[in-house]
Amino acid sequence: MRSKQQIIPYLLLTPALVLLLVFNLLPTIATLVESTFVMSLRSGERVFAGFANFERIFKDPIFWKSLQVTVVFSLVVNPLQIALSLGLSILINQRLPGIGIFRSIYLLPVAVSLNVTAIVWRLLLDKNTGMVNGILYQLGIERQPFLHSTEQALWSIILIASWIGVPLWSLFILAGLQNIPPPVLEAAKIDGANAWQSFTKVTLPLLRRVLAFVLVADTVANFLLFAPIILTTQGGPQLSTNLILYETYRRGFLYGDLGASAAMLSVMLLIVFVIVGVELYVLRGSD
Amino acid sequence: MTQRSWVSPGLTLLTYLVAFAMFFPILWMIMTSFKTEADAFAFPPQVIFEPTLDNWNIALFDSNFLDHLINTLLITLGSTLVALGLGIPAAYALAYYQTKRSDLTLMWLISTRMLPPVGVIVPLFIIFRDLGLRDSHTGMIIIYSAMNLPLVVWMMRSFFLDVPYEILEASRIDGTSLLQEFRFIVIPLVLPGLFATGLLCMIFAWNEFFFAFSLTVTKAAPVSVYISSFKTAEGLFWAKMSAGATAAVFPVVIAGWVAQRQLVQGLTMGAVK
Amino acid sequence: MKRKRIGIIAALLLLVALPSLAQDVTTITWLSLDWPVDDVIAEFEAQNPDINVEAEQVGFNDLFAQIQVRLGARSSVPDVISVDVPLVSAYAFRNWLLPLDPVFTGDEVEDWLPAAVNAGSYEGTLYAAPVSTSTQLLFYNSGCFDRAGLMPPGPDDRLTWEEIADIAQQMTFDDDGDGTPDVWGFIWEQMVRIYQLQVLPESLGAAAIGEDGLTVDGVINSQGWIDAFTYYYNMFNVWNAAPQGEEFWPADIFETGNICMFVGGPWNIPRFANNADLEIEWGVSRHPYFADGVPATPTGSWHIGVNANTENRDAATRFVHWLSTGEGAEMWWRDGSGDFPAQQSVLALFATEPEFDELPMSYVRTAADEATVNPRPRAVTVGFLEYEQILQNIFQDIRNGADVEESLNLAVQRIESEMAKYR
Repeated sequence: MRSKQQIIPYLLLTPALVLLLVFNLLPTIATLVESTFVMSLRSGERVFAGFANFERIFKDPIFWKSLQVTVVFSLVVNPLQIALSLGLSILINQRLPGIGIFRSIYLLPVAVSLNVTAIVWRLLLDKNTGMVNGILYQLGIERQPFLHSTEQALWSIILIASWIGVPLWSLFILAGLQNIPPPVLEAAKIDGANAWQSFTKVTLPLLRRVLAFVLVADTVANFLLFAPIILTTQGGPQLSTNLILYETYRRGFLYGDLGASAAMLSVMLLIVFVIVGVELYVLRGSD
Repeated sequence: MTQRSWVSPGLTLLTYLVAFAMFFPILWMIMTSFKTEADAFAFPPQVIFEPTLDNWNIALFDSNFLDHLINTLLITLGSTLVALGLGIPAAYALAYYQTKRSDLTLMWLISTRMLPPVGVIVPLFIIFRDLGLRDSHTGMIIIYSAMNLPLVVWMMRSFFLDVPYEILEASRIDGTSLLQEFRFIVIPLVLPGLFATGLLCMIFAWNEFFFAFSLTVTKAAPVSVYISSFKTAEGLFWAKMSAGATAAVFPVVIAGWVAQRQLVQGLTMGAVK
Repeated sequence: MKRKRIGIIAALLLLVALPSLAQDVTTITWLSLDWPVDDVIAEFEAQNPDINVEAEQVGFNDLFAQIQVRLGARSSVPDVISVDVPLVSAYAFRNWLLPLDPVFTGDEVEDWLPAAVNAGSYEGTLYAAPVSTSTQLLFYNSGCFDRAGLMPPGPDDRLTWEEIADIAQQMTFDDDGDGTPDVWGFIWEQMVRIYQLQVLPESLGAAAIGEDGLTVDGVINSQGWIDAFTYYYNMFNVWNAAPQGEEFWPADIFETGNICMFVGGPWNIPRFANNADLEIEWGVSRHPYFADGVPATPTGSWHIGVNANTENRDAATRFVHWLSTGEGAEMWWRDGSGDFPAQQSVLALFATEPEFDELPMSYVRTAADEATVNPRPRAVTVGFLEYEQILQNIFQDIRNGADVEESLNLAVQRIESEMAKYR
């Protein structure tokens, strides 16, 4: 009986672990191993090269530039999306006529395929034919290049990424909000707390667990984000939106420089794990 | 569940405004689907135009749209079922047979979600080639299952943890088997959460683009790949692309409309521990 | 009971499998663009009952990634690949393509345009058989010329880029006063592609790439390139005669009268000629050039090659042979892509077919002539994919206001960084 008890959890876990092992972990390890190889483009033969690929990318200004873009992007997009998600979740937590329809509308950006939304945004943000510039002009504001200028492109990407990301994360926070027992908020009100006080003193602490989850998940998602880049700016103008993952994709997938691509990916994975580790450490709960 | 937070006219107005702003790109896409190609990219943008059904005709009937829609349905449903089928037992084991190692296993499981698709695509392509999975439904179901599995395990584990231990203990004393315990006690208790998890899996699988684009060509290509096929050598067909995209969004919108309440309810169960 | 069922299944499987076993049909996969291929394949299969051709058709941008991943993984499928001609060196260098010299007779090779044979070869060996070629003409809306009080050029006139700039500015109008023109003077059809823009510096005598096929420093940031792309920059940013922003396909907007002139391919001739609803009057003239330079016209198109790792070498080469020579080539031109054929015998049909006797279809004959007078193939380099895509980004930046010299220097830096792996 006892030994059977011990076997059961393994039996339950094994299929899932095998699937992830074969189709996720092994390919990743293969890629990391690839970072120490140089492949002959002519014959496809691979030769062990130690850290040569790393040395090569560390000397490459384009790698450093894309790392810099990624850092700026992450520093802006993560806090921004968390704040907006929190705000949005409060809005959709209200009881308004037709809130069900509105919650479905909020979910639409999540539901629409990325390659479509990227194209819709390109249409909307175009300088001459875009509706956004049409509206700006009516308001007396000059036409803006958005995705086509070094100053505005990264911000436009952040806008598109947030349009997709914010509704998704706000859904999780909404769940957290609805988990707060009404008596707790009423008690705060009776104690004379105004809306802001009850939000910061009662609601936020109760949301800590949810927010921690969303922060970690959002950080990872934004590090992994690159489909909007392929579909809109392709890293331009002048590399201003050349996120590291896109550079990795371009080098390895498009231009067949697997060694350099794998080396960049290793560096990126290291950064992601460190950042997520720090986030988990800072936000670690007592429960 | 439905307690009132703050309700004020300002916030209400803001809600409607934000909803419209978020909806606007979708609205524009729907409008574009009824335009001619010339109107879709016109100087200046056309708000009022003569609607045409040509794009819809081409996108829906003159092409393989329906084949691709069936591909998407098969892959989405198949991968969701597989992810749940493998993820639920794993989550169950991690929730109820806790050891030091189970926490590590959980961390590892979840961390696989942090591995970028770009990083696995080249080796994955070779695995697919050797197993004959390229451009096949089976292959896509496997890869989407693997993609969604960490999410399923994470969410389902926290739902299981919320099931009061006393209930399980009582049933175990009564001598119910593991399968019975699972089927008649645990599952009914976590059903809303299960539903929400499945729905999220479906949304992610429905919209995935990168794997679909890299691992399928025609036979198993889902709608998302088909839509991007309107980017041809003869240019971008904005209007036809919009028609295909709108058609592809419909099932999700309907599902979302029906399911948003259950989704929130399910997540409320404490999905996020 | 169970055994019986298995027996039935086995018998059924045999029944399904037998006919194909009997005829020994080989199935080959052809990775191609979304051309109308069905009729051509049907005809080939009718003539070659032992071969079954399956077309895998993908979008223009997806094709390169598909080839890169699948051939890069030394996959045996697809067997046959449509190749954009400047990429032949890149694929041949990587040993992805089967050498085709033994497949074709001397006469067959002689029939192809020499430039197309050269472009399909790498280090003297033919790796991709020519199927199509291309050229470019100036398309214009006569109404715009009337409105600006100017005389449109004739089909054999060749305007200078300086004249184009002057005319384009006079034919740009903001009729609805929304702060941006709604009738634009000029655009390049593929507005940010090296295919169409390489002839700008070449008209000024500059080269497209260094002699070693890898060096770009001192080449694409030379004075010729700077002058050529300053012209390009001015068209969008200073003279304001061409629209910035997203890429688009000008033919749609030309038909609505919102673009007055564009340089584009001869595929537009049947399109406009067969459009019964077309309300504009249009004409063509020769590809422009710089006044103190030489005429230079883009060329090059699709070739077809065989995957070096194919398991159906014989069937694949037979299909490639059929499609790129004789009857198959003629059929491909009539029913397939509609692109210009690369076979001189098929090109000659333009002169004899009555379809091309009358305006506006007779403009096709102008194009056929233009294809042979000043063709400029793209740079021959094993790193063409990188070269093209990086320059495409750079041109899009310049079009949208980035400094010309700075952009070209960035292109040098990026391309040199990618080329390092080939040295």
